[in-house]
Amino acid sequence: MTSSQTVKLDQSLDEALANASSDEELRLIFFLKRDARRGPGNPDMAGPKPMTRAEFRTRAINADNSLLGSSAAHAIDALKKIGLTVRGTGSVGALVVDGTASQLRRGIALDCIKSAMLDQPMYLDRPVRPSN
Amino acid sequence: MMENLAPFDVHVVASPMDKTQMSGIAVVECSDVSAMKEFSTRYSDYKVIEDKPISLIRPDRVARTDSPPDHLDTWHLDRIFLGQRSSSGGEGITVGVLDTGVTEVAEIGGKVSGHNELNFDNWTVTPTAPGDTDGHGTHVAGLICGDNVGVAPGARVQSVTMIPGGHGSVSNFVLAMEWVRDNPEIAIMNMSAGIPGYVDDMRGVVEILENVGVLMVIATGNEGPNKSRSPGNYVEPLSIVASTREDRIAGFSSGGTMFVDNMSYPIPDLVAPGQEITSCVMDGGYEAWNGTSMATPIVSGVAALHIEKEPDILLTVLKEKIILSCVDLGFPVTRQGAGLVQFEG
Repeated sequence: MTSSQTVKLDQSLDEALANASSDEELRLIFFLKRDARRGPGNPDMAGPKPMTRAEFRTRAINADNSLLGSSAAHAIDALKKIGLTVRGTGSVGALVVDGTASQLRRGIALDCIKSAMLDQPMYLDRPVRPSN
Repeated sequence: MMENLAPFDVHVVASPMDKTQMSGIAVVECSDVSAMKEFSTRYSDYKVIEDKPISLIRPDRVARTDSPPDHLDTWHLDRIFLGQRSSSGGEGITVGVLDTGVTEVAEIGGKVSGHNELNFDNWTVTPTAPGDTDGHGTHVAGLICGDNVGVAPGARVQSVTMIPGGHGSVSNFVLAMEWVRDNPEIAIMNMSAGIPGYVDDMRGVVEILENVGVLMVIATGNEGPNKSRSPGNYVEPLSIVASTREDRIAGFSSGGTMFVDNMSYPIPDLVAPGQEITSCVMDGGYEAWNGTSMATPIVSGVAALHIEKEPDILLTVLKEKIILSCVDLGFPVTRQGAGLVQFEG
């Protein structure tokens, strides 16, 4: 793995890929480069004053969609061609990707991928309860 | 000097000659009151006090209450409202509660506009039957829009079971974020979960949610000072810690100084009541819970009240309004941020 690929990984992922057998499936989160998610320009929020927050949000979503372009779709296609299972649309700049270590290494090497991390638990901030 | 106490039948358990001299305190056992008086006279430099039991303070108590709904302890509302709480405050505003699900008990009856679950295999978020996999989401929802305990009783919540049973994953988070991004009904996203430490990779996801006008209100965690969780420790969301009834910062509140991209900023952004906070639970009753999870929905409720007044308010302005309204509690910014959230009403 080249040094430019290594900086795309966190330490736990680096170790997981190094220790994985060739046929072992791992689940990673791939984060797209900003350019790979959006086209050029800034969102256009012009228009009459929104009357509700839902109207405001709709306009913001449409403005963001107008900049999405086809780059995210190209990134998904490229990952699938490697044989990876890809979940997600790329609309939030992240994809959930399953595959073997060697496939994942090739995916991480793509220019459109900014970084990757192992899927990992996300815990509730448990209310502080008594022990009794 | 105190070794000559025998004539007074006083036994020195720990004297200034041993290591307790660090505190300037001696522990002595006296056979009777006369021995104690003799001791006091002879060693007049010492103030003598009776030993008393010191009870362990249990700050983490979670208490059940049998009070009727209109007589609940709602100190959290008293503390944040400078004026009168409106029974319809937050009308027209929906808060996405990304949590353990919500049981639609009487306190929040008719206020849950959707119950949703994540279907990971086909990458969809779909409507599901009402219900809470843990109880946490119900308590949180009550604090947002509950009739008696909620900050914005006119608001609604959309429940997404992102942390079923209290355990989720980053992949769950990505799917839930896509749903929130694409759902214009969601004005505010309330979340009390994260990954320990600062995880830079996920920050781009949060930036995109901000781009599409979603106010993210996220707990920093309950691990105490100088610890935090992502995404609650990113600069974009409002990061929340808990205050006590005495306007102190609850000891379990996480926070500190984040060093990112050669810049530093404090976590949290602000404080809300988060100790002994009464809200509804799954069986329809009420319990007082402690946690930054309890403080977070209080801020989400306040945000709903602001957005109700100005539906087209920009996120930067909204966040500034909430932060500028806070009252300084006198603690470092790494513990209190801007201070205790307030709403003028």
